[in-house]
Amino acid sequence: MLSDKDRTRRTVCVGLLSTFALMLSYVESILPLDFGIRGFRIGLANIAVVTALYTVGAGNAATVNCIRIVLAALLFGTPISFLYSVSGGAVSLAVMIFMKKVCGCKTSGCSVAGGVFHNLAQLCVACLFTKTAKIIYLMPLMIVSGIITGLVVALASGLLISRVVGMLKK
Amino acid sequence: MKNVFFGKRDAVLLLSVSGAALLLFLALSLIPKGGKYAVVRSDGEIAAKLPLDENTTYTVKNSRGYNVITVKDGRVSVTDASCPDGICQSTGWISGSDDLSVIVCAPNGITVSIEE
Repeated sequence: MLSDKDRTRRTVCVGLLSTFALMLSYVESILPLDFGIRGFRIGLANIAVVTALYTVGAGNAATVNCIRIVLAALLFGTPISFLYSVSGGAVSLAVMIFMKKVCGCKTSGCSVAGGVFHNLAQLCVACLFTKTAKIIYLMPLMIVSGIITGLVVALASGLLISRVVGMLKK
Repeated sequence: MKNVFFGKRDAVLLLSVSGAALLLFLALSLIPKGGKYAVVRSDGEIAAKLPLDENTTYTVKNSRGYNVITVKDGRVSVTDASCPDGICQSTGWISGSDDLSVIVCAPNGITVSIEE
């Protein structure tokens, strides 16, 4: 059982990281950071999730992820974007936790896998929505963009984790 | 703080993911492509078959919104849409010989693909 002090600490950490994730989602929704391919998301909010994963653990990272998906959808999303967000977020979180625990990956491998599977999951949802299998042609592009975004997120998280871990973990 | 960014396993992962993407790309480009019609589908049902050799515009509508599809000079593109993100519009022009042979409007459930 966690002591009261640990519980408080955990609440504060999850709260901070969730807010961070939410802000990143908001910034991303305004800035056209898509390198010309519309719908291309760097997934900046994942910086918070990956940071959480490597500092306060998988359970808290999952909480952070859920909070930011729900709030972002409520505040500046649509029902459809929520569907895509949930599928992408759930799959990529599961993959990232798997990568860390089972494969022993560091942040770059983990978030690249997360990014790739996030995109692939969204591709599957798009496939179900449009009921066409032709979408499979977009798979290589989705994988590549997942790799790139994963690396960007990993870099940012890497910088953040080393500076923040002392604060969060103690 | 020990290195948390990159390790041996990450290299393995990156290589295998890149390899998979490459393989997929090669496999898909081997599938015979090309076609004479731009087939517009709404929720999986064919809404229109536009011949690529006639310059036309066609508006497809369903309960979620509309997309305006233009055929010009043997290529097809989505020139207007009611969806919030506009990915379909920024996909640009596709023709039978591209690697990208389908335009998708995910919010509206519309696809435009080049087929025989």
